Amino acid sequence: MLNLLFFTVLALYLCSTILQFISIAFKKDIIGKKAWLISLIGYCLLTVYLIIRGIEARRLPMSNQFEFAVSLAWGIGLINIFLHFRLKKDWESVLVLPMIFLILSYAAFLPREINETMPALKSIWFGLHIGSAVFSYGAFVLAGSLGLKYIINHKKDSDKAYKQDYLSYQLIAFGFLMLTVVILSGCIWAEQAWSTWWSWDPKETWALITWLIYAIYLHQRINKGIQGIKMAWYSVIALICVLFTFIGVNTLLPSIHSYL
Amino acid sequence: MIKIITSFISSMKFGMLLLSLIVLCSLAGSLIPQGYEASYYRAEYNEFSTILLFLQLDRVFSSWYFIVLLLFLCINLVFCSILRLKNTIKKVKKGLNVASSAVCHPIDKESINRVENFLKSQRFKLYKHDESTIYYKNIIGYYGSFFVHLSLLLILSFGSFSMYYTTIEDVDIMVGESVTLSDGTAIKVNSFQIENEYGETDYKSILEIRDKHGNTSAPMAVSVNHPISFDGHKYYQQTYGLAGYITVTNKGIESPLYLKEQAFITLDDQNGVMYFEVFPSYDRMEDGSLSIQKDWSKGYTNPIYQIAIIENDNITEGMALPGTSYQVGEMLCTFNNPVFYPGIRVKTSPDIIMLLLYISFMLMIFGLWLCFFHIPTYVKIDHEGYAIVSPKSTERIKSNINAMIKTCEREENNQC
Repeated sequence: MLNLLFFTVLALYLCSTILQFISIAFKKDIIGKKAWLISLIGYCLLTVYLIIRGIEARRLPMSNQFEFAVSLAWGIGLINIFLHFRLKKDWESVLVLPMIFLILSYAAFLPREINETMPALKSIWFGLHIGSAVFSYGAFVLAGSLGLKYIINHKKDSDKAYKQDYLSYQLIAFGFLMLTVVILSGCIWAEQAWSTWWSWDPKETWALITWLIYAIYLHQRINKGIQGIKMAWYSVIALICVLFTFIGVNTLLPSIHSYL
Repeated sequence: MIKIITSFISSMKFGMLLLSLIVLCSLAGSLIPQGYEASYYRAEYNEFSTILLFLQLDRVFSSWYFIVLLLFLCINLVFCSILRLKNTIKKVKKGLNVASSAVCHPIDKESINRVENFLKSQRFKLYKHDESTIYYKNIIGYYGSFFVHLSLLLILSFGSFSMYYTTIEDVDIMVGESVTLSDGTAIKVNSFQIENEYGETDYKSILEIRDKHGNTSAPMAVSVNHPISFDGHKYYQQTYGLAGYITVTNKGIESPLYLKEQAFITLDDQNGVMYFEVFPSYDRMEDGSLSIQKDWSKGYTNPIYQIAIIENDNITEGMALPGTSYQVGEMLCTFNNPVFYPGIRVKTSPDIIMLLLYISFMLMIFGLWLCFFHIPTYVKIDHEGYAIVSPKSTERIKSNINAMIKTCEREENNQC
């Protein structure tokens, strides 16, 4: 039943992505609204999926690569919904829906069985550490999407481009704060589990690399006032780093964080 | 000349350069396996191994240049935050004066009232200056950057101190036995389990610790994520292993042996039983032969020993199941079910350093919160209009005020 639910969500996001592109290509707002509605339904079912999985596993559904990928897609969806309803910014969905679909597609190729949680993951820091990673990476993915949109569209509508650029900065600021929580809570947890709060493990090192890259972004933005196309490109390139930390490290580098 | 150097060292440009170099070093350190013998790199990287070893890319994070980068970063942090605190305090004091000299954007009187009500609803504080009113908020936000940089400096300092003054000793202890550490502390393992009462994997040891003064603790449980502290040491459930359990009987006297690695069990150094290792399981094939399973991740369901009997220069290799016995001369070796044993890590480090480190962590989160969510904002209101003054972008408050004014104007136009 869980598998059916998961693939239904995947299909709904594929559908909404396609409809979104059709809406833009043929300039039909009504199709765009349908795409948004379908993505909302997909999001609700994704939430149900995570809740059921969490109940069956008797823990938060974030303890392996599959669960983290699905949770990340959920986190991106939540931020997207917040931006849509609270800030009335619906133009960022164009790239966000395909992002969610791609992350869920990646998750579809990973082992989906619910396994017993390893003793190292049974900690009070589990929820805070991995939960903040979900929102941190989610914010960076959205910021990168906005950066890409800026690069494509900034010459057509400078007012909208300015807003996209500023929103990208706000998302990166939020993601940076969350990433700091990830790293610091991870340090405290590592000291309790492995006796050492920092061991230059590849996952730890790449989280630090990501943190430093975004720290440089924020310094350039806040202190030097650099905005616009340079920061848009920066946010896209930095997103590549985030994706490597999320996928590349677990797949390619031996790490004590490899809970595949 | 010195002024130029100190000016550069305290600059943000230098800070960004340092961060970029640390990123590059970290990239190298994560992609190249660290801490192996030189022969490993020669085998893996062939002609590149020479330059790799020369540049210390086999141990980037303890290399001299990485430490120098961190030292320079600490110096840069001192200059760009601590020494600029005075300027930050001056900025805070001057903030109201700067706001009072701002030129107001003209709006009608009704809108001015609405803006003032809006600012009061947003919990702005009020300051009267001549004929204008300054509304201000989040003044503490000026210190956000200072707290972030200070906390990073403290984390680097306390972290280095913690790593330097920490000693670690790993000990494997069989259940029922005791191990004495170098400082005289003795650790006894009363029991060890790899599963809890619900059948879930849970590595837990019950320890009794006797300190160097002879004081013994009550039995304490240590498990993964739940270390215990006693007499200045911290004990971690670090790992576990499986030891072969063999009973050697000689002239009626039984001696239990727990073997974690290859060993030759003998009475005369010539004849005896060579123990190699214990495997987690086996399958019996149709022809009666055994197929050994080496994957221990599924547990030790059918353990089996790999041994060799050496007698009168004859070597017979084979497998031994638990419960079997072999007589070699006067020695009888009985193979029992293998036993699990805990690997305990004993860490000694000043507790105060970890506490200071955690306080620095919280300071960093607080500093970032101030930087991004407590932007100091001043709004000057006079008879002409309003002006927003802030050291950073105030898009949100500007757009809120503008949206509110536009909404009210629209409502008025509709009424007309």
